[in-house]
Amino acid sequence: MAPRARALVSIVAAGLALAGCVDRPKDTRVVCHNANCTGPPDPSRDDRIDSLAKSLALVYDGRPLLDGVEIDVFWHGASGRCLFAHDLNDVPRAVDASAAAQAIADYLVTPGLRSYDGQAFTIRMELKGFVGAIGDEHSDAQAVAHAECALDLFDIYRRAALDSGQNIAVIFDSSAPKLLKTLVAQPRWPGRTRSGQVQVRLSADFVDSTPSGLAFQKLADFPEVDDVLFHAGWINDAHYQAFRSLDVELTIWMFSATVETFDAIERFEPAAVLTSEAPLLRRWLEY
Amino acid sequence: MSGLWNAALLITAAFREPEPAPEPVLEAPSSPASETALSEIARPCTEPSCSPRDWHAGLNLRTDFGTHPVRIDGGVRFGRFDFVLVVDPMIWLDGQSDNDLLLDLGLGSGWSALAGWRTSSIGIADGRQWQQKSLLGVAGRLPSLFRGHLRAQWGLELAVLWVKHGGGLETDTLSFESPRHYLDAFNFGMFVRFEYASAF
Repeated sequence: MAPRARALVSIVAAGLALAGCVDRPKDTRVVCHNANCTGPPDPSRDDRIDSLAKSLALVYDGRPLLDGVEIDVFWHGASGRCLFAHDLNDVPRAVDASAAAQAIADYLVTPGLRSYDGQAFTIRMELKGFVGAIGDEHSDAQAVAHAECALDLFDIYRRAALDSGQNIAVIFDSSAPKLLKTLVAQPRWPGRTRSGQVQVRLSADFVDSTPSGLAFQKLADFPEVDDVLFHAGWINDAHYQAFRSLDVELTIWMFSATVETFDAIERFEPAAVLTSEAPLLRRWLEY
Repeated sequence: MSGLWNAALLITAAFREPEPAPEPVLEAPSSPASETALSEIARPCTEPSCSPRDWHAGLNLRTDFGTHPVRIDGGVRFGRFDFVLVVDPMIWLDGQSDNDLLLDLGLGSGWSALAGWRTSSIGIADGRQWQQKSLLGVAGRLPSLFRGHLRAQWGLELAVLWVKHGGGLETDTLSFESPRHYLDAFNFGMFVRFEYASAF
């Protein structure tokens, strides 16, 4: 090949590669972060029943706007309650996690399309890895109680899906490997499956920022997972390449949908995004 | 080099035997080298950056997520003040455009402080959302080529997202109510600029 032709091919190849880095993924699903995603972000309204109801009511182009919803499931060690809450600050006003599960079940049994893309409606449950202040880890008994609570919630979703004929994907997510290990050790654990009317998955939640925590969270500490959840600004390329090399789905979460988030979605092409601004993300994906 | 030769002569003299002895024959430094060194010192700097003002245009590159990876920048410098406009041609790829207006203030020795504003226009279905950021940073010159006409600069910036608006969506302004409200609004980034410069 002549040098000039080779240079031209190289330039075209580089251009195409560059274009590939900045193309919006079309299959990424939109999942509501902390049951509060009508936007703009307002963390003070996360994990509330009214926020959940407003989020589930979002529509776009005549269809449900969401492909799924995430709720926080917090085991409050002092009271021994399983709460729909983000952390200790939410406890005074928090309701039992079963109330959130029932609201999602009510949504599932409503006739009609339940997800934007028509696929299984995703229900993520983040099992919070602390029982009081951040750093208060579960005792063995608390981990079992927390896992049993999550399985109770799963039963509520499963019953609703089977009654309504809807497909659901329930993802048990946590940043605490101990919790997920305890969960899969329970006799009631249904097992992981990526197909069928009621799909069950595990997710490793890389919740902390490098170097405060992420660098010390090891995927090897978790039971085998189907999904890895991470913040795009808090991982390095080595983490990303490690995730890519495994047979896991990638999910990006964010506090706010910024340019950095959009560029990360284009580069990582995650299976789903957890967002507090679902209308913005949906319209961005549909551009 | 002449300093080294003087030192060599002094050391030789200190260790000289008291008895008369032939003077050591030291080879004098070659005059062409001395003349070159002198002419380099004396020759005025002809690089564009040494002139009172210059114009420049080139590429603004980065690998982080702050903007598109390749943008075009250009500007004019008057003394220590360099006014730079960065525009984003990659809007045709994904409908997003990140454009900066910067003031680069020379601090000496190739270092500078920069401040500016970044407006990102993001295409969304049935509209566009705008994100407005302030920029603060430092930058340093890298070695240049072709008598300073081709030059490079490395920079570190802090971008703060103050407001998101447009597209028929509710306006979102920066809040410091809790870290969860503002953590994603602060982002560090690094860039490299390669540019052609010429005095005017």
